[in-house]
Amino acid sequence: MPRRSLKPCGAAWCISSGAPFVLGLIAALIMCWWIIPAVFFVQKEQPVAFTHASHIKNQNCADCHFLRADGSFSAIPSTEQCASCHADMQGTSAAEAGYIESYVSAKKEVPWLIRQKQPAHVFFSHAAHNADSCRQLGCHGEYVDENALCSTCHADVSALDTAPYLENRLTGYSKDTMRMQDCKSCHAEQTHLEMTDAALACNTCHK
Amino acid sequence: MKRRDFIKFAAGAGAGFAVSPLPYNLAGDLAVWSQNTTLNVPDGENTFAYTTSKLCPSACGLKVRLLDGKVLRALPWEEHPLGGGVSALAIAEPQLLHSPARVKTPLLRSAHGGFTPISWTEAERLLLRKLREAEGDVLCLSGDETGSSSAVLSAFLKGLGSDKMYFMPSEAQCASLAWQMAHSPGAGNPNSLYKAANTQVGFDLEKAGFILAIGANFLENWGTFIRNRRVFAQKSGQREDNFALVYAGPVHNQTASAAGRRVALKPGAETVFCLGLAALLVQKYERRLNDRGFNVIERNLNSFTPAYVHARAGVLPSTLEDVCEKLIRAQNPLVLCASAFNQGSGLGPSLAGFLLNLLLRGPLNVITLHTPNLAGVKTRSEIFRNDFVKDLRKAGGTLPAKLAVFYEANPAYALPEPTSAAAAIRATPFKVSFTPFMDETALLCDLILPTLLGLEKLDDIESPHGCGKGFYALCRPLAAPAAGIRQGPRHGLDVLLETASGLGLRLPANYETVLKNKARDLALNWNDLLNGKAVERNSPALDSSSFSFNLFEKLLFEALKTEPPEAQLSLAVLSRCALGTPQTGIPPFALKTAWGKELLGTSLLALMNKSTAQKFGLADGAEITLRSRTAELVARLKIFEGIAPDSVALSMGFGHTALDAFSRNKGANLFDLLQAVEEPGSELMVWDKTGLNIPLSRQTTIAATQQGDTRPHFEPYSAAPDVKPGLFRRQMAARRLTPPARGGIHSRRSKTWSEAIIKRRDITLQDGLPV
Repeated sequence: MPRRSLKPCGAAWCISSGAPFVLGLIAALIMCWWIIPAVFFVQKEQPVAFTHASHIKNQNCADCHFLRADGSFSAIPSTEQCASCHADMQGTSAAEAGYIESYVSAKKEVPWLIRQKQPAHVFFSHAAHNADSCRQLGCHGEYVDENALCSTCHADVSALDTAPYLENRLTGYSKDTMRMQDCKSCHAEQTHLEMTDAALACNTCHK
Repeated sequence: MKRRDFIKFAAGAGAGFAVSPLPYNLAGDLAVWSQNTTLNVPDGENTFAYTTSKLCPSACGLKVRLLDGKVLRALPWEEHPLGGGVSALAIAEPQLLHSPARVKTPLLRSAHGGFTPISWTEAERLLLRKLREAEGDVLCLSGDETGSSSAVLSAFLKGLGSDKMYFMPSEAQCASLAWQMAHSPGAGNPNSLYKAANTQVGFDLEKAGFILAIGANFLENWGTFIRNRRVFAQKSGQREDNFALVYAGPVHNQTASAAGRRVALKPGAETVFCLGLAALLVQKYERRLNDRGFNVIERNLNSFTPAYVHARAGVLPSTLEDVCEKLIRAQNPLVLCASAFNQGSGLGPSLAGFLLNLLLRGPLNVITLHTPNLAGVKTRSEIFRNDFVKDLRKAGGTLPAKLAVFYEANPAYALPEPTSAAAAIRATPFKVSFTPFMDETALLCDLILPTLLGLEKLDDIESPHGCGKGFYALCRPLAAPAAGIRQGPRHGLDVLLETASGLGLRLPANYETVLKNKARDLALNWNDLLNGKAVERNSPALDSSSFSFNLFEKLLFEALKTEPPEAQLSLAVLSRCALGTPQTGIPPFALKTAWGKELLGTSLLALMNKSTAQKFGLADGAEITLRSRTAELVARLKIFEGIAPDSVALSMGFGHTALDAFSRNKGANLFDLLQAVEEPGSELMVWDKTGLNIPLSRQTTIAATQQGDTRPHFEPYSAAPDVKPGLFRRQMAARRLTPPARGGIHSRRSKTWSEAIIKRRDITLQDGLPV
């Protein structure tokens, strides 16, 4: 009579045979979700403690980040532009005092760490994505809030002010930099494509 | 842990890794990392500034795009009097600022033969000492015909006691001398014959209802060719008054491509063809001029029968009569007669052109030139009277002075027999080159002083050859001197003017003062000029009574009595504006306009029609040796039917041994084949009639036999009857644009188009010529 094997079954089998697998799975998930990604980024401080939250209270985005007459985008304001208000102290903070002393008085540009910096070969026109273009199409109603439109692509800046600037060690870009899939979310969307002629061809964005 | 447990743990870890976002994020980061470059695209505000091109001989207007004040791009300035497009050279001006061939600091030849950088102060001190040692035995050769620099240089030389101020030879010189001599009252010493020292001829294309271009490639390199293109595009596009263009020349060039009718001429036969037409006008249509000297012209024209023109120029009598009839019927016909490569033609073509225009009452203007008011200054016309090639020949093996100043001129490359010119430069005790680029001549000099380019310096441009009315504009500094260029004077001539004060000469302190005084004398607002304003001045129409024909017998008909050199082939020179000037070399973007296989090695492409090639037993692609009386050159044969019979066409602009990588060691220098001879009557040196022989070697014969030619054979273009406005002109009319600035006759589009037209013809050949 053949001898019957004494293999464990049920919960006992899981514990005895599946435990190493489960342990590996849990360990990898912890490493890959939390520990390794943190290693990829280095936290940096902005040279000036600037806060969008206090500026957005009585200003629009376009007051500082405007389109020039030739259609190009001014992006980060120069010290000269900032000095139109901050030539003298507007508040009482030490950060503002330091800014005026180090940059406005010294007529130096601030080496900002730019969250939305894109590679040189990526072409993006703010002029083609502004509120006027949307108003003309009328898809989002007659009134398109300019600040809300900015936040369609850019993260909520008032929330970002408090978030640390994390630079990817491999790419050199900010963690908040838009990726191609962010652009594709509109450019590859059929309805949007039909309404705006926003082609998905490579050379629409890559020059 | 057992082995099996470890495998289970690894499998679990792998599964965890796979379901986490890490692999996807990592892949994305790697993709971005792989695209990271050091390329830095500048960002800033775009502005536009308007100026006039100093580098381009057409002096076209430029709309310069600046990004945060830095020059980025040159665009056409449509409203400029000489604009309407942009040439291959002018469009490359922003890139040429950063050419690796730029001279960045004063250089002194050292004892071991190389160059040592020196300071501006040292350079000025050395120049002052050498000028004192030369004791007035100084010459200056300038490549800047249109600026006030020549006036300053001539006044400087006069102060030193020298009259040896020269320009590089050009069509402008031939036209100016012909103009001056045509205004002379009588015979005598040639140097006392020149009159009209302050005027030049203006070609009023805007008024012309019919243009006959004889030799003059007026849509590609003759005169103000960008403005010529604009006027032609407007007129042909609007079908203005049945406007038509006829081109007569040895090569099917860009002008021929756009012309309604094309006539094949033997190279250098422009004058004969022109006089054949004049003879027909006088004899058949009884056109005459009320001048006492005209009977001499009439008597001489009797010998220019259609049969004689056929024998000398290769044009059939019926063609001659047909063209003549078109001229008679046209309203305001204008004849442009010049060398097809813009130099070396002597006075013949220009004088014959004047005669034909006067008979036809063509729209010619009189342009008054303004010369800065300096002690001992020479006008542009007076400087043209000095023939550098002749004086170089006379001096025998050296330059005709102890000290030579080359101002933006490159004689070691762009004179006939350049090796002799280079040897003469070497043999001269001290020579200085004012140049923006390290060219062939600079390499032979003892002192090199960098000059700035048109986008970096303040300079002026006055009435370039070929313009219709008086023209004046400034080019001004839009860009800071390119990186690495050591800061020095604002203009190269400021060094000379400072030296002048050291020598005790009475000259203005700097070049800007000269220009300001000139603007004041011309009653022009300096600030307007600084803002780019280009001024067109009123120029009266030519009054034929101001012309004198007394010298025409001596200057024009005498020259034609000499027979062309006996040779198997006549050389037709192709001058392509995309290949730049001798000073600049080939502009950065223009190298791609070279024809297929043209840049293989250091030989040239020789264009020949098939019947001519068959005479020598040659096939397409054969390597041939072309031998002139003084030199020989290896070329590769390309069958092209747009060449007159018994002729071979070669391109000029290749074969630089200096300058940058875009120009150096590409092809051969055509000037090696050219030999200057004296034009009877005017005693001006000419080199537009070069005979070539092909010494058939064994290799050539084998190459010809082995390769064979299976390409379709098209008939010679000379036979083409009138062509209705074709694709080329329709496209220009539709787009209101000038013809393409690059590509030339061999660009894929125009070649295909011209071949397509040729293909449609039914041609009968008689005596090797089309009927």
